[in-house]
This record gives sequence, C-alpha cells and structure tokens, in this order.
Amino acid sequence: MKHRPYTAILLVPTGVGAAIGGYAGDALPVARAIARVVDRLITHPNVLNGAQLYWAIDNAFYVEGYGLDQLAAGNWGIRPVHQNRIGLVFDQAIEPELRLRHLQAADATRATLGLNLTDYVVTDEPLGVELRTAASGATWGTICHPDSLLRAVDRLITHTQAEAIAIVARFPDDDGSEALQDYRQGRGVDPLAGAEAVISHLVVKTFQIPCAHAPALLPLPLDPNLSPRSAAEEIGYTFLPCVLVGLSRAPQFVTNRAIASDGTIWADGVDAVIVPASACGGSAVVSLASSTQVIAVAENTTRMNVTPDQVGIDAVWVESYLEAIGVLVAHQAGISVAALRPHLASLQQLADSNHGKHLQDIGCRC
Amino acid sequence: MTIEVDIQESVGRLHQAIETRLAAYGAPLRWAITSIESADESAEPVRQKAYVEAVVVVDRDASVA
Repeated sequence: MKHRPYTAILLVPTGVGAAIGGYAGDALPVARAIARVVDRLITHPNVLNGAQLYWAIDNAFYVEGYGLDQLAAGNWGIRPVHQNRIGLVFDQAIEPELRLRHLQAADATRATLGLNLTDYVVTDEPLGVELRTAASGATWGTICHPDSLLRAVDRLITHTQAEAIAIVARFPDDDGSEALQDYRQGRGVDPLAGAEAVISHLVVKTFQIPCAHAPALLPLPLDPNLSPRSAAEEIGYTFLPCVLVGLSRAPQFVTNRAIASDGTIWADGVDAVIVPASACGGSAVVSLASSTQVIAVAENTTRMNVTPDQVGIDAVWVESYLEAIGVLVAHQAGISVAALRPHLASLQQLADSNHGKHLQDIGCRC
Repeated sequence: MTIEVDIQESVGRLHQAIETRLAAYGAPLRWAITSIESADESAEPVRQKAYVEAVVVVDRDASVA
C-alpha cells in the first residue's frame, strides 16, 4: 500500500538547445515512459507540445513554466481538473488566411476531440514579437505591446469565463538563417521557444491561469534533410492542436494554501525532479533541490553549463533517461540506488570534525 | 538582463539571493543560472559567481525587459 502518491517533475528548459526536448515535442516519449512508473508526473508545454502531435497522458499535469516555478518555490499549488474552457487570443498581426487556418484547427479539436473552447479575441494592436539570443546561447524575446495581450486575455476571462488561455502570436518569418537550418536538422537552439515562454509567463504571472502559446508562421519550404526531432512542426499549418489538448486538462493554480482543496498538489508533495545535468540553474530546480531528489541526466546536453555540484545540489547523476526511470522506481520502492550496484562500501564512523564544538556552542555538555 | 550573484553556502540561499537582486529591476518572469565562474582565482577560498540571465517585467508600463 502506498502512503502517498509518488510525484515527479520532468524539466527540459525551453530554448537552451536540449538534445532531447529542444525541438518539436521530442521529450514526449520520455514523459510517456516516466508517467508509467510514477503516480503523478508534472511537466511543461516544452516537453508535451509537438505541434500537430500530442499524447494525452492520464496522470500527467501540463503546467506552464512560470506556474511551475511558483509551484517549485512553494508559492502556488496546482489543482487537477476534468476539463477547462479554453479562450483563444489571436495577435492582430496574423494575416486573415493564416488566422483562418488556426480557427479551423481549433474547431477540429472541438469536433474531433471534444474540447471546450470559448469565442476568440483578436488583440487591439499587433503584438510585435521580437526574437533575441542571450550571451549563453539561450533564446528569448520581447513583445512590443504586452498591454494589448493582457487586455485580450482579460476580455476572455471576464466575458467568456475562460479557464485557460491559448495565445497565437505572429512570429517573424525566417527566410533561411543558419539558426533555422540548424534547428530543422536537429542540432541547434529553438529560435522561437524563448520568446514563446516569455509570452505565456507574462499571462500566467498576471492572471494566475493556465496558458500556453503557439506561434503563427508561414509554412517553410520542404527540406529533405529535416530531422525527425523537428519534423512534428512541419506536418501542418499550425502548432495549435497540442496547446489546446494540453490546456484542456491543465491544472488550475491555487495561490492561497489556507483555502486549498484536499487534492491540491504543493511542492512538499513532490518526490523527484528530473533535469538535464547541465541545466541545473533554473529557478524550479534550485527551489526544489533542498527538499526533493534531483536526478541529473548527463546524456541530455544543453547550451547551459551549470551542473548540480556547482550550485550545491546533491543530485543522483545518471547517464540516460532509461537510467533515470530505474532511479525513480528504486526511490519510490524505498531502495537505495547504491544497493543496486556491485560494490557497496562498508559503514564508517562519522568523523568528529566540528560537531562536538557545535554542541558546546549551544550549551551541551556530554 | 544578466546579473552576477555570489555562490551561497546553500542552494536555498542562492535562490533567495538571485530573487532579491532581480527584484531591484522588476518582477522576474524567468531566470536561470547559465554558468558558474571563479571571480578571483588567486583568492582563498576561491570565490565563485553565478551568472544569471533573466527576463523581468518593468512595472511602470507592463513592458517586458
């Protein structure tokens, strides 16, 4: 009998060139596999969004990155739901034909998947998305009219009682930059992901409501060398279906523990966090590190250079997600990972060091 | 924006130090330590600094910086 559900968080930071999960929803197989060995898996849109492709995992919770940071910090909880009513925001800058493609995709999720969407809102100004790359190589971005975005979201919440927000912003078309070529061939940093994260973070921060973003772009010319990891974004006209599926059952945020219902999940209910070993400097993992088992996956390389030991995190290092899954199974079974290896060192007497001095300092005399 | 923060004795204090530094500029939307470097290799003990990249919201017009 389990004393409590085993809960893991899978993090693959957005826009840092993760070898697994840095492209078009290509960490989704990892999420599916981990979900089979834990009771509850909390992860974020970058992991679960594969443009036209998605997989609804019954015990996975789709939590936007800002909300995930707040959850990890203990500021917010997440409350599972059966279904959200999703409000859709379109950037005024999207051309009419491209907007229609997205509306038809949204209607398809209503008719074919049974999702619940409200009427949509178009922003009162073009959002003006601009893409940037930081010194580290991570991508990010800005929007020129965040106030217009927030007004649109406010209208949806006020007038349609939307419980989750999908945003479609017009992103700059790329006419064949080296960064885009690299991304399509599965070896660069996603040039859009960082800006997408900023947009959804702003909405979640302001309204404490589930939110995710899909970029509106014109189709790219056919590339015979397209990487399988990037291919999910080139099989249709929009990236919207995965976002709507994710939001349809995204947990609601709870910002006041005093009035939270019993089923709300808080940071102290999280047992493990799985993260690329070189990307241990994010807010969520730094928050969780002192109370949660961190599993650092070496094989999932990124452009970051922050390993657990460098920031004082006592992590279990593994080479691959396959090995991480083994650690999760052992951890929830109460089995020390060391006992599963061929050599197990004998116990030693604890070194005297400063402990006796500490006891004297606080007035103990033995 | 990029800031430098001294590595703290615990990871919890490091998180707090970063949030405090960022709050002086605005409300953080996203931050991550992107590298750790020694501030002065000749000093004893060697001081380590965390380089943090962040996106913050500046309150006055809700613009994203």
